[in-house]
Amino acid sequence: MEIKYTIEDSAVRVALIGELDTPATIEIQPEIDTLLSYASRPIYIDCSQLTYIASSGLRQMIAFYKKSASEGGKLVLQNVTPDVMEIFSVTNFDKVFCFE
Amino acid sequence: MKFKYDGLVHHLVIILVFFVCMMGNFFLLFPIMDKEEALRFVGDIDRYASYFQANSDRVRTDSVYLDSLLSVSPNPYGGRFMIMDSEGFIIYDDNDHSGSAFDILYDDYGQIATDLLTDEIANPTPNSKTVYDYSASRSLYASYEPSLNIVFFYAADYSLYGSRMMPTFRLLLIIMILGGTVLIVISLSNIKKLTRDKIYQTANDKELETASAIQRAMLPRESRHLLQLDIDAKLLPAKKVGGDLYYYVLREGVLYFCVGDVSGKGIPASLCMSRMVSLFRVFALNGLAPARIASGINDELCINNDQYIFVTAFIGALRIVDGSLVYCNAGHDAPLYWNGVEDSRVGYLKSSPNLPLGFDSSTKYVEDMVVLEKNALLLLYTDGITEAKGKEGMLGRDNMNAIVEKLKSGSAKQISEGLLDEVLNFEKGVEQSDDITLLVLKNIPSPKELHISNDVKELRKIAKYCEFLFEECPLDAKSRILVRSGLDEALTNCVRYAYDTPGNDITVIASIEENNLIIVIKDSGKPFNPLEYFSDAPGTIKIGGLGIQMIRSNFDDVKYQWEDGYNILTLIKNL
Repeated sequence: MEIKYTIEDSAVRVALIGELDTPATIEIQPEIDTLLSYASRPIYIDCSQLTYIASSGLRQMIAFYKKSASEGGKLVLQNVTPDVMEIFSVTNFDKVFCFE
Repeated sequence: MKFKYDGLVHHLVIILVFFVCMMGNFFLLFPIMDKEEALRFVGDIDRYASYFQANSDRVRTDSVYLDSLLSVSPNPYGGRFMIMDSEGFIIYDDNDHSGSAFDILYDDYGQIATDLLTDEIANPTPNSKTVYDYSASRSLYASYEPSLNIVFFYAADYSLYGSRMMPTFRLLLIIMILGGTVLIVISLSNIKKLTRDKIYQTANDKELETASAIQRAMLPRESRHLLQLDIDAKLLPAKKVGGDLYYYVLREGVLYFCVGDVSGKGIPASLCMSRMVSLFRVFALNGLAPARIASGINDELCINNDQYIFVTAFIGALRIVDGSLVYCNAGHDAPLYWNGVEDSRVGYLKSSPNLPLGFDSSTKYVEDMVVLEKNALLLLYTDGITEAKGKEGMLGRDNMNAIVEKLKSGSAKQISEGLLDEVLNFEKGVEQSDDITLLVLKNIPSPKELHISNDVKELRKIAKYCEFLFEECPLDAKSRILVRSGLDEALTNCVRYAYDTPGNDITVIASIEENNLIIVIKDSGKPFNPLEYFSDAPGTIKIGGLGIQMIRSNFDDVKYQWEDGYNILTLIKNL
């Protein structure tokens, strides 16, 4: 799992590459914590290379979503692959998140 | 004469043969009757020149003399009349003839006449004499007439186109013709019966053939896909249909199997067999324990069992995830059992004694338990194996045991085929007297098994395991990601919350049953039923139970049980 991000004034752009399984979620916890502090800005997460997401990964997404909602920001998930989208839909989160 | 009524062809041959014979007889008889050529010869016994000559002249000239000769001549055949002189010249002939019966015997006339005269002098009673010429089928009858001092000769020809048949021979022929006709009539009526029988038989055979196919179709198909178990079974009925049975069916990670032998043979036994198979399947698919299955079937079979048909059966339920086998032996032969350790020998699986099924409805069935280790072998059979009859007697348990001992390391298929070959070889030259049934089960180490310890990093093994699983599993991409995700969540749950200490083993075993992928997870951690934790209310999401919700929603069915200190979670995905 690899996480890349750029923090701009107008937006935070994140790219998730690989599989966001439970061990990966633990590994990238420091980066997540960093990004969460920018939750007031619009956060764009590019998921084009995200091949898998576990519930722990989803939980991180929800944390982003809740924080940005409470701070007036927004969270956009971009280019989600059908496989990963399936996991979103089975948990009903496809109705919660904003996809592009 | 003894007839064989066992075939139409026999009768056709019989009729053909008699027809030919009859035709021969007709040819033999009728020409003779039509062309009667019984010839009479009147010869003068005085063969010496002057007197005979004078007589010959008198025959030619004196019609009164000729008439007197004719009037005294016995004329038994009413045939032709002829007078020859001793030189063989015809001096009187009432009709034309040539090649007559007289020709061959001519040389003997003088001798016969002399013999008769000698007899007459010695014994003055009417004398006669018959000379047969068998090679030419002719006979010559001579009789001396003292008043005329002449000998009458009668010649007869028995040859086919010759002259008169002897009356007794003719009678014999008539009897033969009548007899043959009767035989033909019998044969024809038998042909009619046989043809009808044959039509009936053909219909019967066809019905039996269909019944046989139906019975075979009741058994599980051979290529049952089991990811963890190696199983093979054989059933060879002695007749078209039989009373032996085997069955196996997987239900939620448990293999239910049985081998049974219905008392009796043929159609009655096969009816009971089909009932037994259906009952077993229904009870097994309802997840009943072997003793419950046994008593369920027993109750059913005891109802109106006026024919006193009963079934000996071995019923087992093997949980694939850990090899634990619960079984109930209802009066059946003890199965062969090998624990999978190379040094140990093949023995018999001990079981509590139970009465056969269908015997007594009040019977309480008792079950036993054993754990099949890796490579362990279980071989169920019917007495068609142990009591197989060959030229050297009966095969027996010891021989069967010795054969399996040699084969034990092979696959289930190799063992079942090897044993069956040996049995059939033993039976060579002797008709198979009983149904032969075999069910071989081997607990093979399976690559479809995953072991992880309770460490989060171990969860990484899931992705690869799933890929491996999907190679043999016809799942679409969408289902694949859901299976992986659900399994991931279930194992994450185990790894994170089941244990307080590290280094514990969690086992995953997958199998394909009918149209389902079944994944069983077994851990020895704290009892935890994930099914009690998720909310069924639609649209509600409990963050804490997200993983558990995903387990539930990613699979078509999830079952949980706590057994002997283990959490056993069964995940079911429809294929």
